[in-house]
Amino acid sequence: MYYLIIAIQILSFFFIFKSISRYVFTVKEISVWLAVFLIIGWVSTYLIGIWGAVTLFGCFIGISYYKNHRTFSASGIFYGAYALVMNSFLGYLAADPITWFTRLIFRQSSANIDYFTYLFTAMAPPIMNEILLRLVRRFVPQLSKELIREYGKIIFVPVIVLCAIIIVTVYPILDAGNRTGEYSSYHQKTIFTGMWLLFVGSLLYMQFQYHHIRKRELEKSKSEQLEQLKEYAVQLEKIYDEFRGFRHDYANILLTLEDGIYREDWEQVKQVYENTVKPTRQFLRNNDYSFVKLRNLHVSEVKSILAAKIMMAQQLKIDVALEIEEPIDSIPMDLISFTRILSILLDNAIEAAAGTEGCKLGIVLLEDAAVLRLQIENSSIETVDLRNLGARGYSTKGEGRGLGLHNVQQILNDYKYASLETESQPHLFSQTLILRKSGERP
Amino acid sequence: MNIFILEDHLIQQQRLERIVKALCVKHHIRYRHLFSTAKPDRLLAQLEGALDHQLYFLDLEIKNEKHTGLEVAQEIRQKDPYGTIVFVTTHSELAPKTFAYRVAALDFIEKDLPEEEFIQKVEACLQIADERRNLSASPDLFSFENKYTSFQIPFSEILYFETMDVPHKIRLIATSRTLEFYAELHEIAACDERFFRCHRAFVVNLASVRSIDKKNKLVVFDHGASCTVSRRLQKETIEKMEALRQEESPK
Repeated sequence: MYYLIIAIQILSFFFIFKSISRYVFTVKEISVWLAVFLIIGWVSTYLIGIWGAVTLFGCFIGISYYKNHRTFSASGIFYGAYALVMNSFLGYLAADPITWFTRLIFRQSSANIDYFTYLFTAMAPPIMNEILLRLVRRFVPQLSKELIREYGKIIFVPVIVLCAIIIVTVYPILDAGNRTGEYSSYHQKTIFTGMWLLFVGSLLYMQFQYHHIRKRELEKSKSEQLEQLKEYAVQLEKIYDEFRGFRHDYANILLTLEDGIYREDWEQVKQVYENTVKPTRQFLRNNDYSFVKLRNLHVSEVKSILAAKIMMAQQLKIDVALEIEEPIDSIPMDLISFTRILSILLDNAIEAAAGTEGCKLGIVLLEDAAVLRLQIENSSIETVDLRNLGARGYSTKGEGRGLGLHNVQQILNDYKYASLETESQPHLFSQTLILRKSGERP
Repeated sequence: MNIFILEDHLIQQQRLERIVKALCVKHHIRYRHLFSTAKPDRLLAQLEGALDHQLYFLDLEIKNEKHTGLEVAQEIRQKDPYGTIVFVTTHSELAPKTFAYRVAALDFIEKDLPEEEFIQKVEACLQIADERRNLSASPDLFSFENKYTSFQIPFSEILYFETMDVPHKIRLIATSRTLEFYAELHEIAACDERFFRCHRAFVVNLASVRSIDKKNKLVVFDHGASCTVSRRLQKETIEKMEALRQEESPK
């Protein structure tokens, strides 16, 4: 019976961990992990008593690492600490009501009801945790995994330290209590309450820190956006100036032609045509104006980034062709992630195109009933081998590079409604992000 | 073959008509009708009941019309899924990728190209359309759509599908591209009878398998691509592949 309760406690740990971390496990993985857990749990509990829980903490970090070894961060450790402390915390909260409740139900029965109390107390934490998390997730807006990944240390390290302190203070008391069967001394109660308050406080700190960082990031990107849009406006004015110049020349050309025609001086007409009219064809064919098509894009966050990158490419003498033929009012993806992907793909494309002879960059945004497609195409020197692409650290650009595309794939792993197509032809490389529209968050 | 020209600028319309006629004589291309107009509605009205292969030269920007060239092209596509659409337009309206995706446009011809290049491009389009005259079948496309994605790819390009590290994520390996999306392998295997799940983690396109390496348990494709075949399913894979080949060879 004792071992059954320990097993249930171990399962509790695991399920709390699973629901906070939201790692996806296959059935096979769950069974293997649970078996490992049970064995380690039993053995370590047998050897070192209640401290066995701490070895499970080690296991959680192991799982986090295994699940996420490419971007393993403080959050992985936090999940383990959370599972450990939350289990004790909720167990502590639930213990008294459950004892009272079982006494109430089984008061006629003569059986030993202590086991039931333990059993229920061991089962309560994962259930309570699940309810709690569901509530939090329902009422708190979606956390951006991007931010958590980037600022994991600031958000999680203090909380992990606090959790460690809590574990170190609470466990000896529990341990001693286990041995003597005595939990209710006044000092112990005070310490417990203090520790739980500390725990709740640390969770609140996390919430506060997250919102603070989010606000700062939003402000930062807003001001960047403003800069980019200003630059875009300047560029548009420049184009307008060129057009004005063209209009001015055009008037002159017309006058000269008119003069030639009325005087029937065909030599002059021909000369004017060859020397002044024909060269304007180049002006008409210039792709510099293709970015005027940005007017069809009504998402200013995306517009500003596109404008900035297109100007950057044009400064590098890359021929940029932009296609946004119909109005686009929204992007069916979290904008922070989308702009992040967009800038990585564009940076890669610009860098690759800059080294080539033809020097071309094509950007297409198009939308139909089911999907939004973003295609970015660039000229390339060699035919890119698709097999290794996106692996961490693989890059056609040499050592220590290649994190960009890997990051794109990491972000996309969180978006089930996004597909990425990669095409490689001789001297041409293109990537297409396909966003299924039903994936839009309400 | 019928040839349609939609162009609102009369001089341009006549120029194109002249070029097309001259080229048809030159290459002995026979056409039943050559129909030029400036009005999209008149063109669309002509489409009803057409049985032949049709070639369209469309201007994108038609004055005094609420229809844009793209809309006209989409309407044409609905009525005539196999026709050959070519856009004749100025450079500023050029959007090849969008139009290729939307209406499978064959080509774009810029009006302001030098005369010889312009004629060459028209010539190429005429010849392609003339070849297509005999083929009424649409290209063999694999269209996939589920809750998470929606895409199309020529069937002959598909080599195989594989599972990825991320659960439920699938990677499609094709001759010159890869595509990553969320789906289930069995969902894909059920899409077409030429697909076969030869391993827990792979679905192959039997039509593009070149050989099977029994020793190393590999399915080998062109260009050195290969994937694993499970020992249990190796025999079945070979049988299915051979059955498919026999089915196709008499044609």
